[in-house]
Amino acid sequence: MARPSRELLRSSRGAMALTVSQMFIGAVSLGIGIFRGTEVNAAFHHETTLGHADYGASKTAADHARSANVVVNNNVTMGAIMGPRFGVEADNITMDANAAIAYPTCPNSPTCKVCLQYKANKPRALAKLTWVRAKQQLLWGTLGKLSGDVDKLAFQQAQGIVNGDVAKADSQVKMRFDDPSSSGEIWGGGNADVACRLSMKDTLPSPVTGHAFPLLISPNLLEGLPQTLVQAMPQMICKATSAAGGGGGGGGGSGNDGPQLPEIKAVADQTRADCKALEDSMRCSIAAASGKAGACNDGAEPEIADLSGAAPSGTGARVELPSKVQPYVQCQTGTTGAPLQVSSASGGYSYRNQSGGMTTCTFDRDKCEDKKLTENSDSFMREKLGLPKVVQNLAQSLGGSETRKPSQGTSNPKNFCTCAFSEKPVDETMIGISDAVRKIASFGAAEPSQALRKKREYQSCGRWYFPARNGEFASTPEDEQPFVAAWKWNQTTKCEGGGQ
Amino acid sequence: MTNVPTILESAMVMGWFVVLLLGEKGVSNAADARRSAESAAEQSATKSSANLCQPESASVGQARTSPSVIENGKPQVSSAVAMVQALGLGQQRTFPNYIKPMKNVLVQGTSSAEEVAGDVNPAGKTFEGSRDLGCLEKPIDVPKGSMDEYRSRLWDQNLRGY
Repeated sequence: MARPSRELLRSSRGAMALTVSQMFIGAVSLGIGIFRGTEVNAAFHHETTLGHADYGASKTAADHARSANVVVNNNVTMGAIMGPRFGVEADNITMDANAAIAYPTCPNSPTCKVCLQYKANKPRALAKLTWVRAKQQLLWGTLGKLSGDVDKLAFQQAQGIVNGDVAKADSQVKMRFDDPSSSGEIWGGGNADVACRLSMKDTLPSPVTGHAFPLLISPNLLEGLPQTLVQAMPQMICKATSAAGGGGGGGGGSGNDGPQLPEIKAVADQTRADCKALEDSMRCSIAAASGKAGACNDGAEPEIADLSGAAPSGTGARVELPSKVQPYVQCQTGTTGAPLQVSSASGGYSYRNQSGGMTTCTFDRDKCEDKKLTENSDSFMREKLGLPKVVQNLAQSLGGSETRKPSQGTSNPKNFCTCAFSEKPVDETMIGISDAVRKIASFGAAEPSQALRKKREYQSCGRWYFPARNGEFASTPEDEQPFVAAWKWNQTTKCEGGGQ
Repeated sequence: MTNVPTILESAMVMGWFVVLLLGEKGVSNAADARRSAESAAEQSATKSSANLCQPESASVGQARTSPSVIENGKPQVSSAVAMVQALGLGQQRTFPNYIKPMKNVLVQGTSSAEEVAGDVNPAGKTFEGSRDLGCLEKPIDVPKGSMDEYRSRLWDQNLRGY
């Protein structure tokens, strides 16, 4: 072969080799580029789909937090009307009690003018009482019910808005939600006692308390009773167990468990009679134990019967005291270091105990009268002065509903958490390109991508809570958190103790 | 003279390769720009939502954001509002919880890619990312609550005096 021809052949072969190798590299580059494009597309696909779940969760959680603050507003408004009711109830009772004291003194006593004032002004006070009772019950019924429904309404609205917004942004995205309001009320009842206690604390130092005096009646023969009654109202109306926050009124008495009305003759007489009956009952039990059943005449002076020799064992007879009497019987054992302190006015019995010492049990008349005075005052107010009767169904008596608190308690209940889920299939064209590139790169060995075809659902959650751990509202007591509108929300990946 | 075809052919192949590289660079720049727009939108939305519905911008690479706070629904509590207002209430500190619209943070992030020579030049195109998040404004109550405000007004309006 001639030299020029050989050179041409060598050159063309070299160029061909170069061409083939470069084309191969080019094809690989192209394949990598396309494959990378599909990967980038898939990554953005996942990210934007998750973004829709984030939106759904944040919107529903934020709206639930607002609903929590609406529930707080309802609770506060319900509490706000209860205070004036306490005040007006207390004024009416005090007016009635004044009249009960003053009527027997008419017509000659100067106190009789209280009766005239009472006759003239009671209808106005009663009209106010009727109005405030009706409004309180209407408000509690309506707002309490709304508090039970507000989260469901908020969720339904938020769900509709989110679905609409997401459909507008991308019609292929499917959304679903897991929300606690769809399975019941997340704000439960059983909170009336706290509402009433807060109302009482708010009302007691305000002009509401004792407003009728001297406006309607002057002088108030039971100075301090309106304050005492307002303090006791949470127990009397809302069944609160520890409403009285100390203090105590003047003439109205200062019992810790409720107001006392010793100034009312009927109450005082009833109290004395009740305690005497109990003491007589104890005396009869002692007589029975000493073998003299029936020898317990009412008119006898109190005495301490020695039962040491009444039983064969010598340790004293067993006295079977009625259960009503037992709370008022106080037993002491005398020793040389601590001799017995027995009031001569108290009857009872003594016996020699197993260690040889003397045990003396006496009727505690002071304790009995204190307790019975409170009970009889309460009965008098309910039966004669118009205080609502003892209620069996608290919510019903307060208007059909109560103030609300989280049904799971605490400032951060586990069920105050909602989740949103989003889902969208990856574009078929992208999957096709990805499959083709992978097939070529693997010389036909690769199977179609399952990863891209897999149905993926993205989850995002949000919770709402009271900021009790730190910050401005950390000082709010836990039971008062349902009365402070500071509920917040934040985003989270899943709901603790529930959700998916 | 015999090298001329080889050189020409080599140049064409190399040129093809360069075009591929430039294309790859273009795709990469475009992906970066989109990534920046998405990230900036997400950052801005998260910051604005956490900042009690106050718009907060964010910048990632060349991406810029335009956050806005929009109204998005109202509490469905008209029965409560009517009843509470009938008692003369409505000026209290926490009353707006009943009536103020709920809010969203809506962020549009935009970015442009760096210029790349050749046909696959993403420069001049705008890449967008958007994010939407719910938000809640600063609490309007005080730590001891507002019962006294409601009670005081309610008393003055309806019950004071006989």
